[in-house]
Amino acid sequence: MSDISLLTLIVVSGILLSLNPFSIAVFSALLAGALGKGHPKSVFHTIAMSYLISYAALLTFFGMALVGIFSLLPYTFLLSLSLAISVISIFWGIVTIANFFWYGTFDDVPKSIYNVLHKYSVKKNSPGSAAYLGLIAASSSFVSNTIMILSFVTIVSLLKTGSPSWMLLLAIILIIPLIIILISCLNGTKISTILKWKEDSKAIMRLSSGLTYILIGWIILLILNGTIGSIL
Amino acid sequence: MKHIVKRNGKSEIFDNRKLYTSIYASCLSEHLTEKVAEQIALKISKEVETWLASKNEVTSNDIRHKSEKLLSKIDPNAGYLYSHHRIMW
Repeated sequence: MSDISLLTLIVVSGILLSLNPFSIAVFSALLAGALGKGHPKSVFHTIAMSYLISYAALLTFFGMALVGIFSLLPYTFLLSLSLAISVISIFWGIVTIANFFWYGTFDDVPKSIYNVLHKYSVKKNSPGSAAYLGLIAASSSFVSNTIMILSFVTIVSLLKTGSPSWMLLLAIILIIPLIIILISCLNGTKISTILKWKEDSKAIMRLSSGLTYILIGWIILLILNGTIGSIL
Repeated sequence: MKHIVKRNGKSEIFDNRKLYTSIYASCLSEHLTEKVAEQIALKISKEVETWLASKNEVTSNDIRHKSEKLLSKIDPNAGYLYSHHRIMW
């Protein structure tokens, strides 16, 4: 697989996975809280950026650490692990697709975290609390984020292009919808409009991310049996 | 002094300023100007206070529903945000 193909895979599937109702809701709540407190624009920007940077930094750090660990694994063990990860990714894709039909049935965000999210997004609402909220939000979807990052790390490691910068690229792609929401909000889009859009589209977001997990799992299988490496 | 029953079952004296602040914040979040937000928050908090005077026992949820209704009539978007701010995840 060439770098261009890998780049296309990471960009396309990253964009599909970035449309996550939970992360959109948390960021919208943070922006609503910041607007509601009537912060000056500079503080508003700092709060939004603190959240985005800490959210992306945690995912990048996690991904880079895994790339490092995977590079130390014996190749035969890496192959077995990759097979397991591809199966898990496909299984998680099916579970996520089930959410398209019965939304909320298989939510991986614990309900106990809701009050914490409200506290740091709306009540506290400062650059420090926003940075902390970014860490909480990135780690709240632990199962889906872990499977997503593990899958990309596996692909990168199997193709021996194990550069950690792919993980930085992935993290940046994952915050693109949030950056678009921030820009829209600064241009006058109402938070209620964003939330209504999120509510109307969350089932379809689940469907697209479910299909993406299956696609990524399938691609790992194709790399393992040599089909992809020899074609691209 | 009107007492209200909170979600955790504890009783507390109704604080009009809390209601005012939350409605004001919802209006600002919807890009309304500070002046308009103040007017709406003042109007609703007064109406809720009047409504409360005729009640024996009220829960914080009752107050929230009443405020949501009033706010949605004035500004449906701010009303939506006010009613969804705890269940938006």
